[in-house]
Amino acid sequence: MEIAVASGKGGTGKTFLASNLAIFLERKLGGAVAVDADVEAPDLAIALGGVDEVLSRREVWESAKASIDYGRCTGCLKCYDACMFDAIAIEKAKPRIIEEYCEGCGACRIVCPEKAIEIRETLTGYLSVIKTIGGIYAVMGDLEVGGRNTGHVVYTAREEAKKLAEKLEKNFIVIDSAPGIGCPVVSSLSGAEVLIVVVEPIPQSLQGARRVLEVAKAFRLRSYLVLNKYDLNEGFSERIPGELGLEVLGRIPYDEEVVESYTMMNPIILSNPGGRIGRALEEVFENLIELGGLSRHG
Amino acid sequence: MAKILAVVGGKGGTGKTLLAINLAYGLSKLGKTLLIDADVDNPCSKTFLRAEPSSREVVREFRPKIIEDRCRLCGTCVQNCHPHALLLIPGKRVMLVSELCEGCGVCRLVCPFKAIEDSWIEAGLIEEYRTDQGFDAVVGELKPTTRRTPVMILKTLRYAEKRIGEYDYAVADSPPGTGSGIYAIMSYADLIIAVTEPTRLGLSDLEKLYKLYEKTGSKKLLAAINKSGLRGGVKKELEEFLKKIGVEWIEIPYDESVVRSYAEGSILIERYPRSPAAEAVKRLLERVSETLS
Repeated sequence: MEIAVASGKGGTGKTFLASNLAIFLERKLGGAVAVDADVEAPDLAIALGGVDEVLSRREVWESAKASIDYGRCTGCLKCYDACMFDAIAIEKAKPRIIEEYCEGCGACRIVCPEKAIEIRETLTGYLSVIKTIGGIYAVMGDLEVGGRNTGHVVYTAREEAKKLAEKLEKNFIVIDSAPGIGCPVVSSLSGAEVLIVVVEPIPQSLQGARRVLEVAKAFRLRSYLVLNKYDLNEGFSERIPGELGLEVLGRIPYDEEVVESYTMMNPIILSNPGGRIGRALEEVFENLIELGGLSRHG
Repeated sequence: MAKILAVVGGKGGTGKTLLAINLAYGLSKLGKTLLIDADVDNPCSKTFLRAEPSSREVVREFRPKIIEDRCRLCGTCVQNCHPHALLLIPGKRVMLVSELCEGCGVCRLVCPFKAIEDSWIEAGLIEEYRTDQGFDAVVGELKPTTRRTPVMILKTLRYAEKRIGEYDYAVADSPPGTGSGIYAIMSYADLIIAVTEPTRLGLSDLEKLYKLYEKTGSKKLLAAINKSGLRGGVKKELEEFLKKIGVEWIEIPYDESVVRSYAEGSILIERYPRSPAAEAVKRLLERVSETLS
């Protein structure tokens, strides 16, 4: 079973929740592989306690950038008309590829009557399989800075995680998704069964949650809510479940213990399960098992 | 031409929107100011604007319309669809999964039977606001279930470019991350503010963001350490990193007025001008106006 953790807004506690959830499922239900799908700002390894061993690392390449052979280009500009991404500019009556915007879809190459356009492979990012100090296996996506195809890196990371989970006989895959609702989030959610939306009690986070739930609805995920830092504004927190129409798995208070657990690279579910954050997390996860029907068989 | 300030941060939730809104408000006392919200996935500057949009442009995106009479089920479109948004149901029809479609139009170009026609869906909105808060705003918003964040960012910047001649300052708020959209926003700016927080995650993402910054050439860069008083954090390590890369920083302490201003949708330095966080934001504002002038 694939469980995605998302939020719409950044900084609400996705990585915090996903890292502790992966460890909890590993211990309680016999196995979880974690996926860092926030490939533009990948931090899951830190939250899981740090890297013990890098089992593999490879580059992710994708045919992604068009390039024009000006020796052949006659300036007919059919490519300009075909590009749906505004990635072709016209300069001195000739087309020029704006690399940052090129999706590498190849529409320009298809329409070019002079065969003057080639789609070149470019490096999109990296994929590592690691074992963390806490003993969790994780697949880490890492986008090349300034890169474009975040969705492809996420997709590749998830495929890798599925293979790994099968090999290691782990029943759960926990996906720490990116903030927002765009390409990497769509790639995190499509195919997952359960979504945990992490919300903090401010209108900006509620707005983000609404937007991510629209995406989740399109992919028919079962969605649950976790209220993080709920005590920063309890009145607002209480309105959120009704506003989103979601069942609440639990409420986690604001506590700088979370910051400290990152500093020490020691996940709370391991370091202080009996503390107020540890207990709140445990409640969230027990409710997830119950409401989500999770078992040792996935 | 307006001086452009970009507020970025690798990690989400570090306080980009807080600073963008407050800097726009502060700069509007010095000159005519435009706020550009390019965080199109979750444009939450809207929750701080006291105005209804004064104009609205719809951004459209291609979707294939399969004309079943002409389709011979050859599968060429399906084979050429990179995001796997087209499925061939043998003997029946070609089906589109719209949520996976990236709108590139390749299917239409490769179909040997001209069985694919154009249709268009709404991919996003660009709205303009004229507020009574001293500044105007252009806000880009991606429609949920579409996935063209970088294109929407670009369209929002281009839309703002048409207006920018009327302004002295523009402040661009950006999505979290280090991808191509952020690169476009950084390339567009005269001064970049990297917002971070003294946590291990904040530091790790700032390191990645800095690699992206280096690609933009020699733009001016300032850092803001938000929530600087967090107990148990890695402030020392963060400061060492900033020293190493030679970037000046301003610290913004965490105080309750920040959460309150978020909850109310109010502007911190207007509503709680004496709070420690507001005082720090004002120091940042001074530094920004010096750098831009």
